[in-house]
Amino acid sequence: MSIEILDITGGPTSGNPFDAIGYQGISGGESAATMPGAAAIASYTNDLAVCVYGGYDGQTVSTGPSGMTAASGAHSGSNTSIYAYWQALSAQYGIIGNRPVTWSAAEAAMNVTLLIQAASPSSPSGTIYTQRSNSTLLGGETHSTPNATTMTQSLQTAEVGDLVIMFIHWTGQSGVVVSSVSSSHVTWASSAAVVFTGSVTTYHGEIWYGTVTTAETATVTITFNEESTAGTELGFDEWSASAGSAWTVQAAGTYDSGSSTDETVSSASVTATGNGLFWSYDVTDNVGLFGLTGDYGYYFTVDNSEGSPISFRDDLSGVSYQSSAWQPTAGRWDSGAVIFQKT
Amino acid sequence: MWRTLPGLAAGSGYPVPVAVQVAAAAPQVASSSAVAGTFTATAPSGVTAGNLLVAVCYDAQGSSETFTAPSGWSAPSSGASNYVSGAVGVCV
Repeated sequence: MSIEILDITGGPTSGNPFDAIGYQGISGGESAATMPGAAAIASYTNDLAVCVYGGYDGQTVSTGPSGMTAASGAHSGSNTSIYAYWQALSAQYGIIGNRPVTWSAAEAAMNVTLLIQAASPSSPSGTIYTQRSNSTLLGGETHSTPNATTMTQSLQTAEVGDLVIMFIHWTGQSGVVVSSVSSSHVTWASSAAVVFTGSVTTYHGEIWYGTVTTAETATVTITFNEESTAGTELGFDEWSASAGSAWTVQAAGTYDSGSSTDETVSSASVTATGNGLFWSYDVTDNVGLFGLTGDYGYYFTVDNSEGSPISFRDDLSGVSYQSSAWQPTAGRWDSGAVIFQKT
Repeated sequence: MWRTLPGLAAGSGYPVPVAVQVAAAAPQVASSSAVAGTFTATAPSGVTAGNLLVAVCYDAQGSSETFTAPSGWSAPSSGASNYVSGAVGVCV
């Protein structure tokens, strides 16, 4: 066992000092030399990010997390090792995604990411995007077979003005697409933000979005262009923005892996024209386990053991964005990604 | 051994770690019955009053293990894990 204690100045002097705490772990049976950081997210300015990694005795971190400073030179516990890194986040930073590291050996390992408040944080100057809730974590995700031209799913919205992202995919039924999405309490876009279809996998995925008009439970109706008889994964993700009045799509992209296989699942690459929220949905052959790219937050769909990687980040500028996740066995995948903005 | 860390000057608006300590403790033994153990980390010296001490405990014994915050420390308001737990307190 290892215990690491950090002595921190400049934090709050009372109350709960944590803005966010995230954990991630991987067992020996799913060992990977590249270990994830936690999928922690936050929209707090000037926080101190502390990432602590634990491994077995003699297992060392070969490459530390990008952008972070090693906090100590002593790493040995009893039968375990422990490594701490830290980074002072800027006033502009909205999300700290995972901070993966490379271990000297593929073994079981863990990460805990702590975001500690500044005593007197400054105010951000740009729009900060914050994940409010998502149906995967709240149990509202579904996997079912419609056998009809429509399917419905309950959605509990949290805050008026938020963005609701709907992700949906199925396999092996060509020609079927989503014609419309409708519900009370949400004003849905009239068309998908992005649609992607695998040339080899036959995966078909779509990302739709809407704006919350009332924070209540709604029944969302998805209408297909013809009867859908395929097992369908469906869920929602709600986001807030610190400024702006209307949600729009800034850019979108798709990725088709064709016949190529890999353990590393790269999302679609999308070029931003300014700040916004990057959000990607990957449909993979195998269950996705964790994210590999720093600065992106991740979660994985749970119904039907799909494990579809979903990644996101904000604090964008006019460059291309692309995340990557990990599936434990090399496989194919297809992806769609959207940059949303509220202006 | 406490180590002084490079970093931003205190008061610049960021919380900054100024020292870190790693302690080893006896590994907890896996058993068919519940096993509880007390693990000790050396108390720091030279800590400035008002600083925050954050302790992260890691053991590799599996998903059922939990940690209890030591006396005088507070556990995080959130954060249970199959792999790690932590404790936090303000040093006064």
